[in-house]
Amino acid sequence: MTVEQFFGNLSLLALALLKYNVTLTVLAIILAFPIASLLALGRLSSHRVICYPVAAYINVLRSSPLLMVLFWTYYTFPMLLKGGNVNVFTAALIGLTAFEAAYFAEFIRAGLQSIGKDQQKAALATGLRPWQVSLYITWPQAVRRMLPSLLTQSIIAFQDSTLASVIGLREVVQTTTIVNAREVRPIWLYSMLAIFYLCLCFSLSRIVRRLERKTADLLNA
Amino acid sequence: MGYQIDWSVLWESPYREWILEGLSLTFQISLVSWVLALVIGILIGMLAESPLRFLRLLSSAHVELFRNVPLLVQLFFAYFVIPLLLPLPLRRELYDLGWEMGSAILTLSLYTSAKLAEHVRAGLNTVGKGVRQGALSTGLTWWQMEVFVVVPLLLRIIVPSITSEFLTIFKSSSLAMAVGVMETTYVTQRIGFNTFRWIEANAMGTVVYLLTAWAVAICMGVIERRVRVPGLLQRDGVH
Repeated sequence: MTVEQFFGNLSLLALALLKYNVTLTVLAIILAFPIASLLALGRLSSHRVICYPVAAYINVLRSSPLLMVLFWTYYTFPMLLKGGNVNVFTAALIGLTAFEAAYFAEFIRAGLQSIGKDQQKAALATGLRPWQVSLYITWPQAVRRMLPSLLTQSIIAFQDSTLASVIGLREVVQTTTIVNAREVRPIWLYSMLAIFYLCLCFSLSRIVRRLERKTADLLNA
Repeated sequence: MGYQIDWSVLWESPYREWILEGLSLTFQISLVSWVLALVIGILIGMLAESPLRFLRLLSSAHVELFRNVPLLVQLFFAYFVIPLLLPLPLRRELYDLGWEMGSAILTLSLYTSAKLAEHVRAGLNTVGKGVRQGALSTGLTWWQMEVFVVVPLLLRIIVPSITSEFLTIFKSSSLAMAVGVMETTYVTQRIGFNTFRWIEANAMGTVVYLLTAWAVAICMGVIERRVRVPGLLQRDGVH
């Protein structure tokens, strides 16, 4: 492999990674957080009409493989809605968002539950309204506690974004397969792909770990 | 809308055979990988406590490598690259044995072993020095202590993580379709393409995974309660 070919392939992979995997993951995380917050609140609700369906949604999504979720959003739902086709990227985005929202919801719920009830009672006693208690007392502390696990899950979401290649999104794994079909250099190309992900996810997880330690210090202080 | 749901299509030949075959493959891949992952995970996790620096480094390298590369990338690497690194007769042998299944089992077990190793390391801290010193003082050798005292205790401590990792393996085994294993998820897609009965096929696939997840969770819940080490194991919701 010549130097030009090497850098040519490298840039092809990097471009696909940025254009599809990174975009897909970032959008999915941004969309999933508010949805997951609502799901977590619903899960904690004392009304059965709200609590049970939300719990069912979370459990079903957490028990299915992501590929199955992607099949629903790419093949099944579009066929039900007027039988039209849907853009692969949109389908992957909806699938990944729905999937990660279920995982996020459980972390958010744990974070909210970790804030003692006494604080909320004390805050109410000072005359704050319930929404003010949530906004100023519960959520700021809960978010700080759940941030490390949410970020770890986000790294997993970044890894999971490669599954969109199975429904045909031209993301980085699909691109590697296509380039390999043309150049037949599996050893080079697949190693490159693995090293790419290894470097990215390793550094990201190191940052999260540092943050986790800081959070722990802060909470113990 | 004009879509009539017709479940009978799933029970027609050849789809019935596909589904049963797919189910059996899903279970085979998951079970074999799970057992392998458990063995490798315990070994790697115990190496993290080794007095030799080299072995500790090896352990953390294993964990970081297999946790930070997406499973699909590992699978493609194993499927396309590993056979090329072998001499030709061995390579033929590998393909004859069915390297689709082999590579899926290899990657799933290594990927999961890395996650289990972390739990094992945490579990070893829970076992603590006192138990080891006690075991050694009764006259057991180092090996006997590890095999008869530490590992059995460790297994009881990490049962909850073993359960959740099995559920994860079961779901992740769906990735094997990417290298052409006809397991449940692949069967779902093929039935969908062949019959355009996407709702039925997809519902069948989802229900299979849901039922298994719940069955495993219930069984392991019973086991968890049986083997719990009094005073050591704490898990939210189970008291």
